[in-house]
Amino acid sequence: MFECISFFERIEDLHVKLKKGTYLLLIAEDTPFLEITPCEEITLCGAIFPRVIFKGKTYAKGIIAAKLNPTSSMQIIDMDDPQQLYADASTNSIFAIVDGFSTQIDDFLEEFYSLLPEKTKLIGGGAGKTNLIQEPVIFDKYRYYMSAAIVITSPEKMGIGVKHGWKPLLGPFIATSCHNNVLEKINYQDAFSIYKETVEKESGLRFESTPFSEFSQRYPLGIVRYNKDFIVREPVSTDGSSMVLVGKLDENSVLSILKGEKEDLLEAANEAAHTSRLNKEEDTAQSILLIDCIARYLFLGELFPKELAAISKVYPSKTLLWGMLSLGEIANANQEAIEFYNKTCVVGTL
Amino acid sequence: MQQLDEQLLITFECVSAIGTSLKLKEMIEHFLKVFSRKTGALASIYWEYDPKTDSYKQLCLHGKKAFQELFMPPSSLTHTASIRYDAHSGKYFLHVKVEEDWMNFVFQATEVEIGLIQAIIDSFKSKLENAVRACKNHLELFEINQTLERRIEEEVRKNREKDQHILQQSRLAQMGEMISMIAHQWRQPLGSISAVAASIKFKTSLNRFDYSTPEGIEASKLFLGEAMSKIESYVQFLTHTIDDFRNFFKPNKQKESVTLAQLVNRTLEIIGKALEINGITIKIETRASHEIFTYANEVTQVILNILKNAEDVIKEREIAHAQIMITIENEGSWQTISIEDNAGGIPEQVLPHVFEPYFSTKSEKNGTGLGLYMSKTIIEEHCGGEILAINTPIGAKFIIKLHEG
Repeated sequence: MFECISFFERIEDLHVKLKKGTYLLLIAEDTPFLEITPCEEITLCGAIFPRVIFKGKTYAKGIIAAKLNPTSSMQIIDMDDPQQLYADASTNSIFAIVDGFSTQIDDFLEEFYSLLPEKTKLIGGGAGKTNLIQEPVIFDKYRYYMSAAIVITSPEKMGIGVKHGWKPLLGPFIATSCHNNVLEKINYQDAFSIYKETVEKESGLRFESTPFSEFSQRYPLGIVRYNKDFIVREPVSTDGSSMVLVGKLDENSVLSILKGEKEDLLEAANEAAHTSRLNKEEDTAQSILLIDCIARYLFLGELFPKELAAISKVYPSKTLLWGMLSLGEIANANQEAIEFYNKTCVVGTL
Repeated sequence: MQQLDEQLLITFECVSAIGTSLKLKEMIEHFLKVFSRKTGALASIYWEYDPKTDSYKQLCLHGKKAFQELFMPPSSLTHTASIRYDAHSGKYFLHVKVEEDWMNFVFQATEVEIGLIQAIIDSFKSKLENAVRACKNHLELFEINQTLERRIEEEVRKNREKDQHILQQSRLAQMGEMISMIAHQWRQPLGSISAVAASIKFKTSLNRFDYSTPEGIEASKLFLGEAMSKIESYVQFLTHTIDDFRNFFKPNKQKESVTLAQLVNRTLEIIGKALEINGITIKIETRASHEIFTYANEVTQVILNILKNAEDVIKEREIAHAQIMITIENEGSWQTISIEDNAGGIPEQVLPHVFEPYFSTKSEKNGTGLGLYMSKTIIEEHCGGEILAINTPIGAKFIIKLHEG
């Protein structure tokens, strides 16, 4: 998919270093830049993420420039119209970056997935900033886009591993009332009151004296699936009765309140890497593309480099680990239906 | 235990996804989405049975469209529910029959896992079938309603055409009757004219007048003058008859104030002669003399029609001392005309149908079966009255009831 992946500290460096070709730019949100001066011989698309990952480190400032190989192609499509996607039958891999705050994510992914060739594997994540405000964070040489997606298609094969490591704390509960990403009632009671009661009892902390994010980082919700791992849904805010989640939730979904232990998360990252490596048909790894949730980074804190190390150690020592800390993760290794994940570690073996 | 818990929870979610809409496609799309997401199906398809073509058509597909060609339409050989491994794709297929329809799912899983998924769907299959049936019944009802609307429009159109046809036939019948009545009315004066003419011819040819004497010339003038006066008077009568008929059959555009006795007399001016010739005695008893405000010509046509029917049946049954009794009286806020004959009455099995269109006991050449139907229409729909037919000990009695005022 990519022939060269580089890291730049400043946007100005791009003009000097980038050679003729097509580039994907992953820009960390604190990187100062207003615009990228177009260069005639260069085609580029890019997106802003909370942090980027390069060579086993994360950066709040900096740009990853991934040069596409000649067999790959890149397009920006409107998330309201997934039919714009062009992916021929030879497409084996897709890397997709979506607007992480678009309300269309679930519908987009479902239709987008339905259009993919049979054996195509999909990896991707949500772009956006940690201020949790929807901004135009996807761009090309000419303009910025809202509710859009960058789609890179390639005939090369890749391996995918998905794992989160969150364990059930209490449940099951029924989401008896919800609208899109707002969970109103759990077991016919205000969603927040059930959540509050459970996590205060478990943590010994009080919501009155502790920021909501501290609870939500450690105690997300999990959607139950048959014989498969939970799909994690992170609560981001509350009005005192309902809770806003990152991603849509269907009414009558069966939920559990999950709990994260740092060791479990690190182990899960390692498992995801193993799965990804095994999932790749050829035992080669040009690079490791990691799409990891910013919430895991915040939760793991100083242990986050261990998550990166847990992934790297599965591969030969010089294999480049790169990617981004995202707002929601996307993966489909053709083993199940498409899902939009939260707080999950998605490892792609390119 | 963990697996059983999950099975139960997934069953709950899937059952909740059943019956969310009465539109089959919408309901099935939602169900396939929830079931596929919960069980990890790569794609799923719903085949709807079409009894008209005895084949299946795809109602909806969830998941990758690229899997579509892996789904084979069901056939009569497909088992009620089965798990099939496709060696070519390396995937398992789960087939589930829902009423006459089929749902197919494709999985990347083991046969044991799919067996457990099959158990989940089996546990709520009857509920799913009920929901599918409800959707189809709803659609059928919707289509019936639409068809019904179309049929009502069609029937209304046909009825309008029928009414037009009836009107046309009725006019023709009336014309025939009118000509027959004119013939009756004219026979006597025409005979008289003919007699006068013959008498002139006779006297002239026999040279009964002596034109050589002033007396003879005078007698001839007198004779011819009298004969011409008679002819003039008969012609006058003929003209008067034509005017009567013309006015009689001209429909009233406006109501007029008239007594029922006047209407009966107008009618008898038309048909009286014919009745007289057939030896039918008319008796009139008037117990009400208030004017009513109605469409006079139309009502007289009805009276005429009833009298004509009485005449026909009297002639047919060769009734001796035939008579028709016409009674005009008050009945609360109504005024009624009763016309009773002594011809033996209407057979009991016929009586309930006499006002139906195209119903006639007369031989084909005499009756259109529209006379009483038109009479009922005129009295009840046009004049806001009532018309009844009953049998009395001596014959049939028709009662026309009209509002006073």
